[in-house]
Amino acid sequence: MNPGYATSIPPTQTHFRISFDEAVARIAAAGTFAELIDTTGVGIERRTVTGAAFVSARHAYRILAKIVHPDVADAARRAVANEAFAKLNALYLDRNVAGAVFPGRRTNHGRHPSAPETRPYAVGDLADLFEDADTLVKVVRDPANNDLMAAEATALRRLRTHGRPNYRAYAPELKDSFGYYGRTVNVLARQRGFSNLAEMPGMEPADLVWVWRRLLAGLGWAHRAGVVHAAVFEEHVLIDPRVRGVVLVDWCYSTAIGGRPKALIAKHELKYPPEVPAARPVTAATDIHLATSLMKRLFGADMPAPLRRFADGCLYDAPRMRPQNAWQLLTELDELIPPQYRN
Amino acid sequence: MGSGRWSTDVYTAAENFRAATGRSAFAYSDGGARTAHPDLDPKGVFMRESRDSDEHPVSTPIVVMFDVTGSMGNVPRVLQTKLPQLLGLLTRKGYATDPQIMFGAIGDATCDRVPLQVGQFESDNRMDEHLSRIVLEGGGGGQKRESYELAMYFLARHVVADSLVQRQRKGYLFLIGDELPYRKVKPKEVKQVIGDDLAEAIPVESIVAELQRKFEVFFILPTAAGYGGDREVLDTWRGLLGQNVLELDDLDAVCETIALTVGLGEDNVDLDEGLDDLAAYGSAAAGSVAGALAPLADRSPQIRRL
Repeated sequence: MNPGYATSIPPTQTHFRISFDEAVARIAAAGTFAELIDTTGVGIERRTVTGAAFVSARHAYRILAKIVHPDVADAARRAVANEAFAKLNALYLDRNVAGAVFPGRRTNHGRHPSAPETRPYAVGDLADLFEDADTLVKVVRDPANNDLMAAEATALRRLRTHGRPNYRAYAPELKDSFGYYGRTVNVLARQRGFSNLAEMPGMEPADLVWVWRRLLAGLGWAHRAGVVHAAVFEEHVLIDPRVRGVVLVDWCYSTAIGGRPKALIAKHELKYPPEVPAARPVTAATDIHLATSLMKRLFGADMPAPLRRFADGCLYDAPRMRPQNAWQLLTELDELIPPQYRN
Repeated sequence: MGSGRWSTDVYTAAENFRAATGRSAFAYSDGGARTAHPDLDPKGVFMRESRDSDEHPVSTPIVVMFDVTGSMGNVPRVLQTKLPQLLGLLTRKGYATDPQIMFGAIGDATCDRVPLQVGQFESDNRMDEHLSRIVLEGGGGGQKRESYELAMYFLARHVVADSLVQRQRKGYLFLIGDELPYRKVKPKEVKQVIGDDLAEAIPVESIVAELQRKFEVFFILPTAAGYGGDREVLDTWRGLLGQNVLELDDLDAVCETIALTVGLGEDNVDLDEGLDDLAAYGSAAAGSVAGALAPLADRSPQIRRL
């Protein structure tokens, strides 16, 4: 992946930090070009905007070539330089490096750290997620679903432009969205420290109450920006208990309010309100139904009776009979729960 | 708690919501229908039943009948979008146990083609279907009277409720309108619309008295309607129903008003608590419901200051 731009301070002069002998030794020892440049202190690292050191393959090749080039070596070293330069060229020609190498960044797959990332960080319903520094790169598996990726990008942009700024924490930030060999790729900011609700079984009712309240707050924010999420399930709700943060992810299934859903998640088909499988227009009431049944599943069998009644009052099949406004529903919920839990 | 970022967001969200505009389906009425849908036609109906079941052992029958004639302006259409949420509101707040709701519409038997439409007692999605099948008449006579007495006759004699039979608890009836009832229930109209044979006309006072043995009867007068706030209308209905006449200036609060009234009647909420509930809304709804319910809260004799 593109590691970003180099810092705006260009090296005023090339000062070789390693001597001719050391460069020759390294070239001789290296089995691949990646091994050669995957070392620190060569004097050829640059810094990305985030401050991570990286080595550009082409840049490293040129620096090393300048050091060991036979033309600059004196007569005594000419033969050694010839050999090293030939080896360097051979390594560079069949290099296995795409663009840049991040020194010292080890991965847990036991493969060489400079080879391109091949193992997804997570596999979703329609896309694979790859880690890249502090972003997640979401690559659609089947180009037929490009429109869903575009829908996610559209929704996240709309939340940025039309949603109230102080609620932005409820959705991930879209860093970039582009086409790559016919596939749409969305680059999202990583939500460090968060985990999704599917990974957190057996939460206490006291915790579930704050999750429920923030879920309604976040959904209401999206609805006011004109966006329906339409896939509020366990794996799409990230929480961080330390800051009581809630983030809604995977906006691929989202539409504008009153739009028709393009897709649904087959394994959850029975959990959807009836308008989604029928591809009828979805509204705020759709998200409220999804969020309520999600909370019911999380509470499980021992849900407090008033909360169960409250949930049942949101789960009618007819969209018009459900609450139409998540923030209004939040005020209703707050009347129900004891003050000490309203935080 | 926590970073404050998500916490304060939740507070502000709860504080500044505004009523969302619901979308709705008026397919039946807008399709040019000019007769009552078969499900809603009162003709030949023996009884509309509100029954207890294993699922709903303690049913509370609630009837909402609204005037759909032209004088009401766009009020019926707004009601058609708002009323479906009544069941959810009653359920979530716990104001009524096992509510069963029947919707109906009132026209004018002297000149309308659809003078009376009555659904069924439902506790699920079918009530929304009934509601969307109500024909919004938009006609009516020009004489400040509609056939409320015909609707009251039907409800008095063609409704059977387990709550009354088994538990001696009355149901709740809400008439939403802006005009006066005719002075008598006429045998000819009853024959034509409902199919009963009446020997003689029944004065409206008698039919109200008969109705009040089954229902707590309330009249809600939306100020947005044609005769909203009209003194004659208010005085006549107050003469018939006493304190149970509510003026409603914010239509968006119609469900809250009905739900709170039922909650008060069922003793599941006292008015102060109910209004604290609505005060959290921070909208005009709180003031509006408070205004509508004031006569219920304060039953001391009113001195008119002229």
